[in-house]
Amino acid sequence: MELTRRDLLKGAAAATAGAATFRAPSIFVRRLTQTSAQDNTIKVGILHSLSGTIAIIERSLHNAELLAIEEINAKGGVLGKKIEAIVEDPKSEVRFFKEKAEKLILRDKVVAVLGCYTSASRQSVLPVFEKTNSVLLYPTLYEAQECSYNCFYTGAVPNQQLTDFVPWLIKNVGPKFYLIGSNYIYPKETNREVKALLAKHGGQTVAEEYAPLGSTEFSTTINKIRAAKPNVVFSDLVGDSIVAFYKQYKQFGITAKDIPIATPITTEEEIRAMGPENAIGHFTSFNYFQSVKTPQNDRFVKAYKAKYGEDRVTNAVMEAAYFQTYFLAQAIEKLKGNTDPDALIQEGLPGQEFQAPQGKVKIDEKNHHTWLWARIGRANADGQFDILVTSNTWIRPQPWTKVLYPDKDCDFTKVPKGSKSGTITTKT
Amino acid sequence: MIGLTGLSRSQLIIALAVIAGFFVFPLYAGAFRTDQLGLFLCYVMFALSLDLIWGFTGILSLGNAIYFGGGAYFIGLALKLQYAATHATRYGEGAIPDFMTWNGLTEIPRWMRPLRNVWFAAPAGVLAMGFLAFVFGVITFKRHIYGVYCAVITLAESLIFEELIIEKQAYTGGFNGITDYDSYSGSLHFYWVILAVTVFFFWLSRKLTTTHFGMVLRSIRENELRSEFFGFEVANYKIFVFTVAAMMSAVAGGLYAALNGIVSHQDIGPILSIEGVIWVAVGGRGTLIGSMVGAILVKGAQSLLSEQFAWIWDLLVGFMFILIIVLMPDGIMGALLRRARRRRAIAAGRMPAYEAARIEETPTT
Repeated sequence: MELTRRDLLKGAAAATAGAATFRAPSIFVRRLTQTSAQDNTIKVGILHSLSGTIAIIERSLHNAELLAIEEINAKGGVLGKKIEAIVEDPKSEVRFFKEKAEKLILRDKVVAVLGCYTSASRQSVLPVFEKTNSVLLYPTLYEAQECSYNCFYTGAVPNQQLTDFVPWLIKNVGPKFYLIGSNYIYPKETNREVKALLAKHGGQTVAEEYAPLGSTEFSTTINKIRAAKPNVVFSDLVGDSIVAFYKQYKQFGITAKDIPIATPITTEEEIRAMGPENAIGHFTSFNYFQSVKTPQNDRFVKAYKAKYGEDRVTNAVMEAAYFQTYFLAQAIEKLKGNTDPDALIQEGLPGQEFQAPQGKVKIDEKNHHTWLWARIGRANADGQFDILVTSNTWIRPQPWTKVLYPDKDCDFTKVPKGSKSGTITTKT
Repeated sequence: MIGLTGLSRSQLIIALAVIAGFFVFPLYAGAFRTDQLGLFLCYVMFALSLDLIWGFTGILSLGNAIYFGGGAYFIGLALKLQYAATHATRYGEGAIPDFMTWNGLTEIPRWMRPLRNVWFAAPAGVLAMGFLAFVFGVITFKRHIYGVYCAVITLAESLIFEELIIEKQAYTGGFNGITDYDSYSGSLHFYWVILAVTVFFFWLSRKLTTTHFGMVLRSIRENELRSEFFGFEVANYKIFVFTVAAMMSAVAGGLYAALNGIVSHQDIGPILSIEGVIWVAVGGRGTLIGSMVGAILVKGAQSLLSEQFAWIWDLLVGFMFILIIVLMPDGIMGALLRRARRRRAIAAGRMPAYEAARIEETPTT
């Protein structure tokens, strides 16, 4: 056979393309392996913002999920099939979340989606999941009062963070609370529960205040706090406001010894952003801290740093993102590879247990939420938390917290088939 | 027909072919792409309205999304009230929207009740937005605020409305927006309705801009003072076109809300307003077709690129903008139209080639 010029060119082109693939940054390599994948993979959608205002935290969730998938695949995948991650970037905008969720479900036909961070993004995609009967695993702590047939909530709900925290604060710090939050649903709901717990345990609300989302100017608030002389400032500020508030608090000369800030939302990530000196001594209640001492957590932190950089910190939401990926893999394994959404929702996922970095966790058999541990941490000079209290046992999630809604619950075993809402009233 | 549209025979054929293409698109594409194209058409109408005020009249508005978002909120709220009345939501409550329950409302406020009828809400939204634009227009243009100052004022208006929507969460759903109601996504007929409205708006915009009225608009854009000296009541022209554009935006927003199934504060804020300006700039301002091409091209590129390159797509899109604006300062259609005119001029022997080359350098009007 004679070698023509055209053949040579073709060969050269192929070689260049090959070399380019080999040398190109991992994004291109990932893409190629993705598109070449056949039916011997299990497709899972990853839907977290990689750009925009909430990208910092969402990228960490995305990273944790990819880490879990890599680990699962390294151990041979699920029943011999590799998990294939299909990544979309909804750009911190609600309308893109919906568009990308539709794309993952309808075009890529993923088995399930791991995704969302804010309640706004979750609520924008849930109708899509319900309409197409698909599965969403959602890792964020949130205000609860929601039970969707198509969603599994692996983050904490208020009862898992507050039930021990508020009485502990009353006993160890003092009974007078100043509540401050960002002005939207999560802080408002959290504060309702805090107020109920304060009333129950002999505490007192001196003031309740809401700052516009994203606000970074707190001098008026801090002056008011000074005047009100509370024992505890209970903060549900989110995002950039957290960093600004802690910093200005210190600038005004109030230390944690005078009036500590207590919060269910400030993680290692925000402390890294504000600088540890601004957070020293303030309290956070969470299921997980990077400083938790378990063999699983040592492995998790080490693996995360090895993959993404030594200076990275882990946090509670990404821990949930990490173990929910395992929940999904185990559920598919339990169903012997069956990925029918109804089978996953009714048999695969409920009751699924996993030895997570925070301890053993479990998806509740009835309400689609997750049994988690409760911990109280105090920020130290290294930007980490000294864990002061750990609950004796894992805590059952109450999507409708008993303090506020004694006769409401979520139970998907009791609602009629086909209902998308699992909420029931226990008292008739 | 030709007289009605003001298009030449060949232009009419092209226009009909394009419309036919859009008409049959869903028969070949899946539900996902059809919905997506439906949303793009809503953006096309938004871009058209912006082209009327910016491209033709020279009013740079960074608040056009107020009217788009406003229309969207009217429809979103109407559909949500309807849905809540007949469905217990996943929050276990019924009768009133969930965001009202969260904010301590126990019944729908009296003034909002008429919105339960979507056939009332739709025209009410469009008229309300028209009225709002009229008021803003009078304030701005009667006081001879133009250029950068006009852009700043409209931007501020846009910010105020976004803030209001987030703040008044008991009535608007706040930061979470309005979601979880019956949308028309997946409906072929609704897609065709959107297409029909788009075609109608294009026709309307052409009517407005190719007539004597359009000539006055252009003269205002080129030299406002001189137009005034000629005896034209410039402010009134501006107020009129601003109001018409706002109502077009409101219709587009309403269709968008009905198709998309979510309305959020981002639909009313400055980001969408500015995105609109980019679409018109990329497509070519003052050409109508350009704004439509720009909207579809940029939105399409965003979608396709973000599916392929989830990690760096914003950079790619940004790079594309810069490239287009640098290479074609008048946008895509502007460049094409100029080339076509030059070719025609040479072919007709009206000017030598070296002379024609100068057209490349002077801006189109």
